[in-house]
Parts: sequence; C-alpha cells; structure tokens
Amino acid sequence: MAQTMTQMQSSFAGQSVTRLSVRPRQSAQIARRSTPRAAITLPNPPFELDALEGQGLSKATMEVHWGKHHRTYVDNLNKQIEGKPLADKSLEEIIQATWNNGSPSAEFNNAAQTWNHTFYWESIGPNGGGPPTGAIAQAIDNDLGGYEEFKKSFTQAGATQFGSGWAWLVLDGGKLKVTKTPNAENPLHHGQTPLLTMDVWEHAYYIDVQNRRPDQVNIKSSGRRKLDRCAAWRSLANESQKRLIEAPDWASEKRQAHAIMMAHIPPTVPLPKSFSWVESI
Amino acid sequence: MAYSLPKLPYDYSALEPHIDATTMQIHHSKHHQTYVTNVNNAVQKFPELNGLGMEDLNSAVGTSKIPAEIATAVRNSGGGHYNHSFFWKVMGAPGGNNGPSAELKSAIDSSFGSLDELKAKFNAAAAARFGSGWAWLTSQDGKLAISSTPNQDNPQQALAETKGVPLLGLDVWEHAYYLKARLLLSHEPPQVSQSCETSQPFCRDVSQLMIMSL
Repeated sequence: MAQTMTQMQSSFAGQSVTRLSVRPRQSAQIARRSTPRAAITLPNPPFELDALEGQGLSKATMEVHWGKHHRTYVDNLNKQIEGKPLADKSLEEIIQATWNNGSPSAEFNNAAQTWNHTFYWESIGPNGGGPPTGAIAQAIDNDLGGYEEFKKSFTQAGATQFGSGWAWLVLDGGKLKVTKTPNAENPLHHGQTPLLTMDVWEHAYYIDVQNRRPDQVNIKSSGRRKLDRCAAWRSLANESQKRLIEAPDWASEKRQAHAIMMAHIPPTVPLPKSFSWVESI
Repeated sequence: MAYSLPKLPYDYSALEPHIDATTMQIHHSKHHQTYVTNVNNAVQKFPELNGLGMEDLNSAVGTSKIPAEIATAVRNSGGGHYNHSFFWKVMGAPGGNNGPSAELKSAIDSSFGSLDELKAKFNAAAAARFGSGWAWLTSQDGKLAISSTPNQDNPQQALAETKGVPLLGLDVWEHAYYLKARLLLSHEPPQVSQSCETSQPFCRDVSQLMIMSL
C-alpha cells in the first residue's frame, strides 16, 4: 500500500491541471477499501510560502498558518482516529461521518479544518486574481449579477461571519451562491460544492492586517485586495469543474461533485524552497 | 446615553510580559471600540432600550426584550462591550495583588479543591473552546462554576448554558494573543504546537494576572 501511495504521489507531481481530474482519486479510494489507509497527510500549498507577499499575504502568516495551524489539525485528527473505524475512511468520509447532523463529534473540527485549509491553499495563488474567465465567469454573471456584485457579497460574507469561520463561493442545486460558515463548518454538509474560499479566522490575517478583517477578504479602500489579487480562478478551469457548473441537473451530478471534492485535495508537492522556521524570526 | 469605551485602569504596557502593549492597544482601541460603536448603532433605533445599563442589556439577550431586528447585533456587540469591559477590570499588573480573599478562597477550595485545581480547569475550558470565545468563572446561588461561551456570548446573557455572575473572564479570541503567541511559536519545531492549544501559554500567563486580581 505504501508503495502504491508513493507511486500515485509521484505520478501526480508536476501535473498541475490533470491532478485535479477525477480518475486517479477514485483509484485511490478503491485501493483504500482493501487495506488500512495511510494517515491523513499535510499537503504542501501549491505555491511557495512567500509567493503571496506582494498580494498582502505574508510569508510569516503562511508559515504559521500552514506550518502550525493546518499541521496541527492534521496531527490531531490522526491521533483521534488512530485505531478506530474512522481511520479507514477518507477525509471527506470522516467529515460526513462526524458531522452528526449538526452535533459534531470531536474529530469533526480537525477533519473539516484539515479539508478547509487544503481547499483554501487551492483557492488562492500567485497567479490568481482579476476577474475569472470562461464557464465560471459566465456562471457568476448569470447567478450572481457579475464579478463586481460577487465581490461585494463575498466580502460581506467574510466580514459578517462573527467569530471564526469561512466565506465561500459554492455550487448549490446547479447555481452559484455566496455563503459563510462558522468555525470548522463547510458547505459539504449542506449539499453544496465549494468552489472558492477565504479563511476569516483571525489567525489567517492577524499578523498582516490585525483587526481589519475586510482587508483579508476584499475592500475597495484598501491596498490589500486578496480576492482581486489572489483568487485562483485557474484551478476552477478544468473540464470537470466546467461540466459541473454547466450541469442542469444537480442530483445526477452529485456523485461527480463528490469525486471532484476529493480530487480537489491536492497531492503532495515538493516542499517549498523558501520554507524555513528560523528565517522568519 | 450612549455606551462608551472605558479607560483602562492601567497603561497598555502594564501587563508586560504576559500581554504585550501592542496587543493591548489594538485590543482596547480597535476591537473593543468597534463593539461599542456597533452596539450603539443597534440600540439607538429603539428608545425603549435607551438608558439600559450594560448588565441589563446583556441580561436581556436571548429574551423578547431585544427587538428581533437587532438581536444578533446586541448579542454580539453588546456582549463584546460587556466582556471586554469586564476583562480589563479582572486583570492587573503582575505582582500587584495578594491573591483571593479568605471568603473567596474558601469557596474556591470547596468547589474545586484548591486554587491550582481551579486554574487547571479554567485553562482547560479556555483551551477547549474551538473557534472564538471566552472562558469564565461564575458564581450562581452561592456556587462557583467554570464554563466557556462561543464568540461574544457571556454568562450574563439569558441564552447562556451556564448562567451566573462572572468572577473571571478570559478572552480566547485569537486577537487576544495572536501577535505574541506567533512570535513564541516561531521558535518551536513545527510539531510541537497545537492550534487549539495555541492559547495555552497565554491562558497560563493571564490566569495568573487574573487570579492575583481577585
């Protein structure tokens, strides 16, 4: 099994677009059924930790956010599920199994936060920003009244999530929606497919902008417009996502959506060259 | 009469090295001020709430006394104003206090066994609060209890699971400790820290400040 996983990971490496495709992940799921799954792993962000410095997200934040917070969710989850039936399930299955109709068990927070952060790294990137193009742009025009309106409602969602939480662009019943969730919750429990997220836990932005949370999301008066400058629309541009967005019948696409969610967990990529704990002090 | 930001009973730097002056300044002049502004904006539309003290306003949270239109704003920002005003008062400069009074010490001993036990349980409640919130020591009907609340809820509010008169409150929103904790954590190997326990060194530090202030 270990060899299979290693082979899979090496086959993923370098395939920046096709690694989001569905098929390899499904193979991974099938392989997991017969053998106990390896521990949940911490994926590296698909960019260097200092790659977003110019876009308002410092290396110091990334080092603590990814290297401490995200890592801790992964480590704590593995400790919690070790030796239990949950240990044989995929991360998405753990999230669903522990959500428990809104009375989540202890594993839920760590599992969902592991997933949310991985998805967050995929949602932002050094080559991101600007208005989207293609199918997602069309869907935003149709469902949300255009990119400017979308930015307003996404910013509003992030700014008004009281306490800790997340702002999301999701697909719900075949339509795009902007939504928000508290703490570790994510749209998967509500039958929605996340397409883009912004972390509005204070740890996501406090080093960079302290109490000015709207700067984390997007605000016109600010020099920091993370959504404008970081949104990784490119990662939405693969064929599966397009098909999903254009799908008229949500129910028949649900299985596909779940597969895409799983595929969205990025494979292991090489450790960012700039990563260093000591350097940043 | 609008609610106003209370002055701190000490300088921003008075709680060093447990809480750094920068954190105190942002916490008081930005975060707390925002709650004051927002609760005033909410209640000014309703003359019947005019003149209600901060404690009475919080006691009404979760009841029909607060109009539905502003229920969330009063819960969050009224709670935030109450909690922070309380937080500043239950802390004091290190070394400036002599510990709990004899009467309180006796109540602590009979409820928790000892002051150290209270601290351990209090810190555990703080560390276990997932997301943003507060840890509390409360008194109700002569009994002491430890609890925690999410976001800016507090034991004064009618909707609190554990209601009571707060004796101690500890802010475990990340804004309360993040600037300092981040620096401390950067010196540790990546495996050591645990995010929901990120606040623990802070809890230990600050509960010392608070216990001494009783």
